[in-house]
Amino acid sequence: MTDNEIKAKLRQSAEEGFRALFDEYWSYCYTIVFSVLRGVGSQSDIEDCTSDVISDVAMNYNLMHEGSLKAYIGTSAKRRAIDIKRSLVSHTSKNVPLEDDLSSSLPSADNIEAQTENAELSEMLLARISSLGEPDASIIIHKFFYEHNSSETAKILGMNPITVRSRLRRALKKLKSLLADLDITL
Amino acid sequence: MKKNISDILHRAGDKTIENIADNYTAADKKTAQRIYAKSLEKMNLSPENSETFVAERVSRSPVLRPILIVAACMFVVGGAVFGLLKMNAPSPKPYVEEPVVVATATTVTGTDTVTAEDADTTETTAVNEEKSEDTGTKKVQTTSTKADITVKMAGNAKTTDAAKTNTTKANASTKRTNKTTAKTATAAKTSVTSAVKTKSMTLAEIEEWEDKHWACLMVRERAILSGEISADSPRVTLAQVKQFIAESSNFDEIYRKIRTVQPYYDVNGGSGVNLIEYWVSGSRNDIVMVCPEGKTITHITCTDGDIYGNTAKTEELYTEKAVTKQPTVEKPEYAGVITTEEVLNIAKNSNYLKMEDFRKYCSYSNYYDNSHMKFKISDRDNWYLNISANYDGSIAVCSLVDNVGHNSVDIHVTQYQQVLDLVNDWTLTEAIIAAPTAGTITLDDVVRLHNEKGEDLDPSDFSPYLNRTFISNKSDVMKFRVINGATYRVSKENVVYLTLVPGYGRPLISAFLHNADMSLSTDILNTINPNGDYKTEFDLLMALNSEKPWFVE
Repeated sequence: MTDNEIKAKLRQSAEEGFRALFDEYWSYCYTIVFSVLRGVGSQSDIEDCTSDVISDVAMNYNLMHEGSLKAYIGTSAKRRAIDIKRSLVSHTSKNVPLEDDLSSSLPSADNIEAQTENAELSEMLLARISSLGEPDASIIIHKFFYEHNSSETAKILGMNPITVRSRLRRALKKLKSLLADLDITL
Repeated sequence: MKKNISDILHRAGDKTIENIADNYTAADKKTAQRIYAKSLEKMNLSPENSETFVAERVSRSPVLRPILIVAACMFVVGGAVFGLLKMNAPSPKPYVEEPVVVATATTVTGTDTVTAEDADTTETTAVNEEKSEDTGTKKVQTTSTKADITVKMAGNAKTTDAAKTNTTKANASTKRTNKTTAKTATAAKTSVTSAVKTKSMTLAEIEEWEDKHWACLMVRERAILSGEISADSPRVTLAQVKQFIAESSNFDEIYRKIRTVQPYYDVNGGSGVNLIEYWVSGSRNDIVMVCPEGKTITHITCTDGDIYGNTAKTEELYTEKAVTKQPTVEKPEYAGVITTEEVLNIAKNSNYLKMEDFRKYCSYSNYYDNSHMKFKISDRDNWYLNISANYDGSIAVCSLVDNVGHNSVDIHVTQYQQVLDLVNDWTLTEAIIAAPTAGTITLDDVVRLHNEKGEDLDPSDFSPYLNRTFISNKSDVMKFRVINGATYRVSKENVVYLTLVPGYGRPLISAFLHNADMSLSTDILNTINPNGDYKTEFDLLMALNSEKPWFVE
């Protein structure tokens, strides 16, 4: 469903519009939130943040705005997740190291270089993973990015856990050879 | 320094995250539903068919807070201590008075035939698996003489207090020479149990086996390993499979019954098709192989575990009966093809036509139908000949049909000349409709040329009106589009054309105005009444005062 169709639905009926918006972008929003809150927030925090973002977009997005809904959701999700991350960190530890707090706002030249290198490397890695084809690529992503176990991955992909395990094993073998030149270990 | 995949993905750039977010589903449906419900709650929209839970805030007095914390800590510590105590002191099992008999031996003397009554001594070895505080295991050995009577006869039977040692030993003093000893060993209940116990494979063993056997997956062993089934969960037997085959009507039913007995098959192999292996005797030396795609069930035995090797013997238990379907021959739309010349020849002798006369025009012998046939006219577009038989087999209808002009003529009852005229007429009509436009001419010029030249109208008179790009394709007709002139304006209802038909006896056979589908036409060349006032059809129409000619506005 296109952005315009979702906007049209939101204009006609809040519920139907929200359903369409949710179906189209919940996974996208969840992933962005997950990438920020991983290791800091719980599963519930991630879900709360995702629902916050989507409901906020459904209620407050200017439907006359011509811009991309996806970009808006992506930006909102990232900012909201960062806010929640700060809040969670401040609640769990009273003393936040100064360098941690400044690291995001004042990146050093080394950081920028490392980040750029990492971004490039991650893009190449994702491309190699994608080249495995489906469902192997999905299984690898769920294993290493979402950190799901075989049963969870099987539920999401609608497969048998045993099949997921065996495919993962074979996919890892293939991936190992694909990553040989990138100096990446499994 | 090497990096691993997790680290790279966890520190991935925005673009990579975007790609992952775009291309991969993040979580399962339940998570999505939870997020959806939370979102609706935030928007104050209650989802249909779902329950709404209202959580009330629990308020506590600040004074009670430290007390509650202390109580909670004590509860946790107490729980932990209790748990540890429970782990260290398992509840003692009740003492088993009766030892489990694992073997007996009987000694018989002085007789050739061994009977229970002749037995001098009966030795019984028993093992009682009872944990004691010191040793953990206590062995009890009992040797008794010929029942109670022998013990009494011997007199020196030594009996120790059974309650303390649980051991009784009695020896008969009157043992004779030339003893014949018969020993009987009885397997005890406990040993049977240990024999049945199945050894499950480790993950390394499974993977090693799978690596050795290409495209094979040990489904059952993996299920055992993951705890989905127990190691001694039942296997389907060969007898059961044969019974299922005997009592079932189709493959699906048989396969369903097999899966009911053993949901986790031993091996899923095969490439392209699934070859499901059920190890009916627990090893790969005796298997039932099911191929759901091929709908076959096969019993394979071998001696070396290689079901595809030289020692393998195959017995086909079930195969889907190959149904030989009679190919359905669809009756073609056209029985054959025929030319217009052949049709005209038939028209010459149409009075005595029979269906049999058309057999030779059928493309294949089985296309012949003595009730109705349709032939395609090969040298015309979309013309066909329709033939239907009368009740006595003679021809009832034999109509030539022009599919473009929706015209038809029954050549069976129409005279040959009339058929020929119609064929020519239809052919000309088709040719004119299909002809490209050669040029444009005003209606004023048409009238002028008609008045000036009359029957001597020549194709060269129209050369000034030809399009520069017009290239004659050696067509017999030349078609001009008639447009408005200064005096005469063309009808708005009809597109008007002037078509010239060149002839050999005179410059033109015909020249006439017509509309697009030839439903309206007016001849401007041939006289309709040589003795009358009006020479041509065109003159007549132009002279009529009562109504306007169809081509004039």
